[in-house]
Amino acid sequence: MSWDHWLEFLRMGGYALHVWGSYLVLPALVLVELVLLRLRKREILGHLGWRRDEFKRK
Amino acid sequence: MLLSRKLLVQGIVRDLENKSWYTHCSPEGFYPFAGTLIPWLFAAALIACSAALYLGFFVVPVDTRQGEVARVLFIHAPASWASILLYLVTAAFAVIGLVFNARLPAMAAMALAPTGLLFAFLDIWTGCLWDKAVWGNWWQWDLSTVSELAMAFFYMGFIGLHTAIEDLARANKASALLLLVGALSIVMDFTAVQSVAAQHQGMQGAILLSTAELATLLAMSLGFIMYAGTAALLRLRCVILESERQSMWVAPRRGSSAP
Repeated sequence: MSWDHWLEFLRMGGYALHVWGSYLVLPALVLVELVLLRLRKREILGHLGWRRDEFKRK
Repeated sequence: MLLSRKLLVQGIVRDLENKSWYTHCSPEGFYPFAGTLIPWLFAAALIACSAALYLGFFVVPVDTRQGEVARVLFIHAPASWASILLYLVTAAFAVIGLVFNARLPAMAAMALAPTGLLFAFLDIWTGCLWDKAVWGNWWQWDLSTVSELAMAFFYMGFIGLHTAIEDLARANKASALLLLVGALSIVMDFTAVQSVAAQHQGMQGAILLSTAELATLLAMSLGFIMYAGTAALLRLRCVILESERQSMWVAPRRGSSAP
């Protein structure tokens, strides 16, 4: 499949909302999950009194 | 996020020196092992998903019946498979933890469930958008959709129940039981789905999928599973630290203030 023009690619044959609404929600969810996990890790390490670089060696 | 090569090689050498794989079965032994795996799993997930996106948008031709909207299949079906697989793995870990009274499997179940819920949500979300495009309404009460929704509720029930009970041993027991009941329901639901497959749009053409479409689905599913592994291991490391905070290997040292 070759798209003639990038605008045509973005239009998705009139289904832009449905196709991009499906595909863009995945990176959004992944980003939220990874940020939440990073915050959780930071909180517990801070609670334990470890610095991040210090704990990496364990 | 990626470890430096030196650290990685050190980690692998240390793992090999340990020799016994049983070392990894305790939370303390598993923590560094998980840390070694995470960047590799994440890289593999990125590669597989990129390949799937390329195949799905630039190799697979436009669907003759539904048009471009049929490309939603390549995220909808892998999300559905990933959520079902993750549910069964979560339930298996919870039951192993219950039967053998082991800490690590019970923690693994808690680490897997939120990512399973993420994929169940993704499946329902993409399904709604697809339904809207093809049938004109956002929600269709067909068996497959309702089964997926029920599974999402079981995920939420498991996470909620485990969080609500303070005593860890009781929380593990009660939530494992809920997961097991849910697993029976889910296996039955999806068996029923198979017997009335014609109801659900994705399955009508299941036999007619081209090689390119199958390759896309396979790559995306692999990518989702690799990502689920990444997120679950990251979460498992948090769970391990939180529950082992009293033990020697985690406890603060070098005069830092106690928690």
